[in-house]
Amino acid sequence: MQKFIFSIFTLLWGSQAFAQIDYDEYKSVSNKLFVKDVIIHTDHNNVIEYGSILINDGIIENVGKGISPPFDAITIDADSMHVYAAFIDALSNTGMKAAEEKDEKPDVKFPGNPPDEVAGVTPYKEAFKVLGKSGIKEMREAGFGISHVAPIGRMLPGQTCIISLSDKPMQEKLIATNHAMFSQLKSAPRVFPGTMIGVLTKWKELYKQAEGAIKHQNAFKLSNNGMQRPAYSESVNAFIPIVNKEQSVYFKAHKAKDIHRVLTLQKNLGFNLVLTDVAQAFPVIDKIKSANIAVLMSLEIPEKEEEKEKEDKEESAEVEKVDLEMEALKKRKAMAYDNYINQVDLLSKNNIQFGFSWLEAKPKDLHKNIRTLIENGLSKENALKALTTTPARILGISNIAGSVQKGKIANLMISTTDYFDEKAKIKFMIVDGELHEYEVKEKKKKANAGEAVDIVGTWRYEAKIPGNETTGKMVVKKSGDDYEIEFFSDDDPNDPSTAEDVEFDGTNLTYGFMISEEGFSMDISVDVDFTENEFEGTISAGDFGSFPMEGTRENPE
Amino acid sequence: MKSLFISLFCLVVTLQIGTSQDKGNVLIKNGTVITVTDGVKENTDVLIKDGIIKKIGKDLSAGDVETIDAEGMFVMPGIIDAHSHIALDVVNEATNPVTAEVWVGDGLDPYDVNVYWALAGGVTISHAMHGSANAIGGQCETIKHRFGEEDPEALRMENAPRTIKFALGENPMRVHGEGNNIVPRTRMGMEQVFRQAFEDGKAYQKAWSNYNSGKTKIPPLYNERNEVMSDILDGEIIIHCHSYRADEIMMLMNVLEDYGVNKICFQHVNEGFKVAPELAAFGAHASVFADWWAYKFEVYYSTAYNAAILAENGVVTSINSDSGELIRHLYHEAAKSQKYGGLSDQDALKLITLNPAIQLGIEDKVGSLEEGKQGDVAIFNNHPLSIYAVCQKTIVDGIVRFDIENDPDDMRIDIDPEETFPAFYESTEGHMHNDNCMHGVHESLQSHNHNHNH
Repeated sequence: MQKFIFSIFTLLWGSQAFAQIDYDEYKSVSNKLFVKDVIIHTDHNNVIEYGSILINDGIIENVGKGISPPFDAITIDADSMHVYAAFIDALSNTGMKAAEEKDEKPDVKFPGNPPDEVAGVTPYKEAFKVLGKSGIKEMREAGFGISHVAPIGRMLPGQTCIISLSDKPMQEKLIATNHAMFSQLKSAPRVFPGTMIGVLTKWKELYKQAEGAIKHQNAFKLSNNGMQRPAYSESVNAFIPIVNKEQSVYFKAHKAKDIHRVLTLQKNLGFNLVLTDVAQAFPVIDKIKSANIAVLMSLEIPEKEEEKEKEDKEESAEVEKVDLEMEALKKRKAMAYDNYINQVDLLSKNNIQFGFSWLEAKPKDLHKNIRTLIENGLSKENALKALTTTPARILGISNIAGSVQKGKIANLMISTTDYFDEKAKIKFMIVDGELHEYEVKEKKKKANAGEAVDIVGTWRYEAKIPGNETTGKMVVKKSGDDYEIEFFSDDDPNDPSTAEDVEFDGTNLTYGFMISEEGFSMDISVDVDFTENEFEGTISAGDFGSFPMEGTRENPE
Repeated sequence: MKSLFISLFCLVVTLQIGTSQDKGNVLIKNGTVITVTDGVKENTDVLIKDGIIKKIGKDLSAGDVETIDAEGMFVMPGIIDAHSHIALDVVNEATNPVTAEVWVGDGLDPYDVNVYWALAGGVTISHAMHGSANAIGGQCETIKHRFGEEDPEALRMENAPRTIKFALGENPMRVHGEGNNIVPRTRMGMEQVFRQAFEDGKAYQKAWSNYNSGKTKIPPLYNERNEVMSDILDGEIIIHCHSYRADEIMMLMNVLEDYGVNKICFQHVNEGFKVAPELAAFGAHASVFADWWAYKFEVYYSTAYNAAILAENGVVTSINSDSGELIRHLYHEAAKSQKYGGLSDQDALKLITLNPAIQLGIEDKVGSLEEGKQGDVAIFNNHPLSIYAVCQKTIVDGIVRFDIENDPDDMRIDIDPEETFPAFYESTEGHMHNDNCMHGVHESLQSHNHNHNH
């Protein structure tokens, strides 16, 4: 176990604390990547069968058939796999950390006139200045190469930025700073604006104050002698590019009523709008179309009620009546479900520009949910378009991203088969020329199909911490109904550790333990599934994420 | 058979919701037409074309227009409720003693099934009001009950004058004085809040007129609140003021007189009977409950004769609901003014038709059955002031929005595919308590919220 602890601490403090070498500092032996004999979906309409792609220094240098790789290129073994432009996340909170939400009344003397920060009015805050790493790995694993990042907050959280989802330092990730203003109808707790109508009023006021500020600034430029200086207000100033239409507003409007409200605001003031994180577009399609507004859909799918087998039994008249009501309700719910499922296709058929945003939906559900939409009528071409070319166009980065073309950023997603196929798995992500490989496991058929396993005995385990694999022996004993588990790390077999909170349901085992060293302690949790003679699962260490863990029974009978 | 029934049911729902349009045509034949302004006409037809009452007379025909046989029925103007909070997602922006700048029209909820319930009581128009948490609480919206339309904009009554909610007495004192320890904590403080708000509005008007006339070169800082205060000073907005006590009613009339504002309708106004001549002299209107009081200290000195006394004194008086339930039987509430005060049929019905229309500034468009007015009609099986009256059909702009013969169980529009049974409570969550003036006000008022906080 010592070895494991060591690994975690290595992750923690890197070279400073323990390790002599910072692995991150290793440069790849070549900046050239060569992807050979693959099916290239250059964009949503075009495919090159068995072509190749040459990447140099993070840029696509060549795409097509008959390209021969330079001697110093690293060839990626992706034979017959499908290559797509990495997806573009049209808006999310990737890399942002939410401030703690407090429900108590803020300490403000006049709740009707709180400081901007308390009111949630911070349109000047810049996402790129607080960009962290959270969520980047998850977005990339889901197939994304670029994120449009909105800060977290209330009605006016601030300025967005566009980043590349690589592991490079922040300066190298940035594609655009302060790209747009993000807004939502989220009120402040018990201070003004404490309601959605307060938010809309405040919004109009800031907009009109910015119009006034522009007039004042222009007058001041003409003749400033004898004139009062324009007052400086960060919030009002942030609206000036909106009034001048130099910047767009990405306005979150989840449900139909909010979409109507935001569209009315836009109609009355006239700013450039992108409707964001829309979950219920179907009642508003005509209005969106006639306003000619681009939409970012939230890729959520309502849960469908399972049709239950009708029970064969004698029913009294009373039961019959209640059932009719239930049946009618179920029917309406099914109709509502269809509306939600079909709305993306409806946007497509109405030629409304749309992409997807990820403020509420989870990127890991992308594959499953987009497949549900395709099963219900959305074409694969339109699905791919909404994930690549359209968001590139909405974000104004079509020149450098959104398709697999010479000169564009080397952002590629390589899937084991057609991505929209049920079995498809992402094998490689190339982001800004940076290669990420994923282990694709065929789902092992459980030999015992979920039958209970007797785990008492001795097991060999292996925890795959990056840069440091840890192995050892795990001894499981049973006393009464409880399991006792001890570990003997191969590095220090004489100093075993004991698991706590052990829970075992017949196949799934979870337990936790705490490691501490030099005044620092951390909770570790393990979650593994057993078959007769093997187990596999994950070992998680707080914020550092989860790592694969697996094992086999020692001396199986 | 079961599945056929369900398909038919769904078809009906879809049709009702799917074919909504702005204006309709309908011919109502052989009813007893209660015009409210021109007596009662037996065996008379009412023809509505493109949402407007085209003709009232005998033996009318109009080609293939939908015809309603109203023989033995009573045809009256759509009922108007001058005080309601239905179809609103937000009622109170309770964060400031003055929030003239907010507007409940920004938060209309066309999915609120309470609108359909109101239609079932013959109510075609309601005054969707801000709550009474603040001295100046926010602008209200006069809505038409076009249930089935999904765009919040479609509920708005076109060209209805702007209105705003004021509130006197305990509610604002409690929220701001007790809750936040700021002015107003007393009725004296209330007066100062109004005076200050009007002063700010005047100063703002002056600053803009100086800029517009070129006297100053830089535009004053735009301020939504003072924009609205300025419009009140200019007479563009009708004040609807939550009030109970005679002394504070007099106070507000004095304040308004000082600022040259005269468009005001007092709401609730339970002690209005004490100052009825003064209200009439000022030209103030009154919108009251028939017999509802004693839900807090300032509402004990009340009488069921209030409506009749006010009306007899020449005050334009209406009876309102302020409740998602009471809105369904306003015709019963109007009838009470006959038991307490002996008003004539016409004057009693005016309390829920023409008079609230006058108070909302829409009497040129609705409130009576007259040629040229909008086609808002309620049809009852008995005289609407009878205890046996049941609304049969409600027509808004010539479109039948409620029909007792075709009244499916589930009239909700927005269905959540993941909702769990019972769906009714889910869909009305947040609305069941919406029908009172103090909705959404947190500040240490929990114990009061269970009562009627009008």
